[in-house]
Amino acid sequence: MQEAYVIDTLHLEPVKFPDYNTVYASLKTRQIDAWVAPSQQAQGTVQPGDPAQIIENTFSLDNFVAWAVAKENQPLINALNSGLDAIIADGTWARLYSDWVPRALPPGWKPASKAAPAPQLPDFAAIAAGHQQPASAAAPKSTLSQLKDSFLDWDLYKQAIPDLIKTGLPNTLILTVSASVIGLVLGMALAVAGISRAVWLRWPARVYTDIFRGLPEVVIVLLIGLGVGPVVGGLTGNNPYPLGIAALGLMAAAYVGEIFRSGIQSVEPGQLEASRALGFSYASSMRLLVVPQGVRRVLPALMNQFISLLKASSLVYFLGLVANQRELFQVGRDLNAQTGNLSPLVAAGLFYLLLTIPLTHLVNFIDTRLRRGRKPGEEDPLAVSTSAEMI
Amino acid sequence: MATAAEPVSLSASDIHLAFGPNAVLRGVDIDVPAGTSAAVIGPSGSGKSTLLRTLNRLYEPDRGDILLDGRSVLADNPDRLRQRIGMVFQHFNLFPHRSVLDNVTLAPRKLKRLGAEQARELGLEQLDRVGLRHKADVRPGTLSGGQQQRVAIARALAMSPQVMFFDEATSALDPELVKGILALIADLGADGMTMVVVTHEMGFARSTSNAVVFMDHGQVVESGPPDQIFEAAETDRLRRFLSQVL
Repeated sequence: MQEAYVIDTLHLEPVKFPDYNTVYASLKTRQIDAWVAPSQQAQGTVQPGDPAQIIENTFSLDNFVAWAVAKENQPLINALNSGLDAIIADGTWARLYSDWVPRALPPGWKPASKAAPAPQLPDFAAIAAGHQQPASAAAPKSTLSQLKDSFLDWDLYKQAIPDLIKTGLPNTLILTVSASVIGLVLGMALAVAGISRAVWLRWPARVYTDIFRGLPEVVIVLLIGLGVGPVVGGLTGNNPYPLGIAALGLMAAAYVGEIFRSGIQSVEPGQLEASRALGFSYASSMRLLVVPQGVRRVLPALMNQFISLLKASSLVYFLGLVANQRELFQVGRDLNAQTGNLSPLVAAGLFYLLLTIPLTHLVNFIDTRLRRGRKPGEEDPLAVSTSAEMI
Repeated sequence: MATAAEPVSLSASDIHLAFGPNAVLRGVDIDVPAGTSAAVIGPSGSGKSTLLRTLNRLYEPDRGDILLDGRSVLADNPDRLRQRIGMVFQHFNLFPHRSVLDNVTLAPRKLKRLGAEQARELGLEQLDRVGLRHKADVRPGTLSGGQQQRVAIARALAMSPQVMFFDEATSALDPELVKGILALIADLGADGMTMVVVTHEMGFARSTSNAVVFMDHGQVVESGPPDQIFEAAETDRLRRFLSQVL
């Protein structure tokens, strides 16, 4: 309703923020000029020394609780008033009021029937004056310390790291490894179908690959996670986790299939010819000789795909997982959303780097090995059989 | 050293093969009696290599018949047929990701269900025959071209074929390595193997084959005993070809 008013009547383009912390972060970085915020929210968020301040708190002191009763319903009015009179008389009202809404009554206003005595309330102004903090002379923080605060809050690191290790890391690995297995199996099927001479095999493989490679990852995750969810709800117990794995796996299959296909096609045709000349069938030739050689050549590309998948696993965030299903990104993101501080996300990022950087170097290592061949006298780490008699 | 299988005769008649509009074989007849060798010569693109691949049904002929041991093989399972015919290629086509011994024993193990120990014995025996027993455990990539072609020959022989095809087996070799491979092929012929040898080595074709077949444009232009082909060519095309290569 509000949005429609802003767009249709005022002809403005609203920007939607997911939560208050994001709004305040944008305010601090001056992406927005001002924030008309709920009083409590602003008071809780704006800290002394922040590059933003509350210029006016319009919280109304006249916001009192009232019951609306029909004018002519005198019996109900009387009943309410006598009840109030009773708890005013025994001091209950004053105690509740002091505990929950500690502020002075509006001048000339008195609860309950006019006949009752005014409740005995403490002098709120005096109490407030007693609690007054010495006006904090917080100087505006330097840019450096602001950055330090938002990226390097050690308490938040301490809070985030146990969750990242216990929940985030296992889930990220489960998602990535399961999706990789789906991707490898389905990808190999797609590759073999893709180079088949049968059009009815080649064509569907082509269409599948085009669609799943052509769509943004987040679209696939959302469409499968949210779209397929209700259809297979009985199977998955309405748990989006397996659907997240399926979405990632189906997506990976398209890329892995293309990697396998390029590898298989890079094997010299003479290999298939020699194998078939020995009497092997096409299927045996592919399985025993052509595919193993093709796969070896594309190991670096496959590892890169694995790294991509590891990062893409963060997209299951969009499916809304329960606490113990959260992967690295969501653990960091949740704490980030609670605190408005980026440290938990930085911590999550560090975990990703911990996984991806060694993998990247492994890729380079394998790549160099495949390019240069192994050094003389050295075992081939990829060899199935060993070379005992190198000369 | 004789091969395990008894040699058989190979003949083909009126073989036609076209790739799309491109007629590669246009009615080829060839007859190789059991235990003899036929050399197939001719200019590049004449269909020599295609003929070999059609005779073992790597390509299916459009027309014609192929007889092995006097019996048509066109209705047979082509994989079964190819187990009876060994083939050696110009570029060796060894399996680079497997050891030399594995290259030789893979087909006997998988296709003849030979046990590991038996296959190893057979493989080493075949490698011994080509003088490469000591290279059994290395990868083919570490071998010279001549050594690789020896392994390829051992690989084909390990299946105890009844017929051997050589497709320009020495064309990719350094000149000093050619002689050794030709000697190996000649030994096989002397042992009584039925062979079809596609070659550019005219001296070899003349000295070691029982018959020479000259092909051009997908047809056999002239065939006969070596002396007749090289000394008394009947056609202009053969004479022209020989004047260019000799």
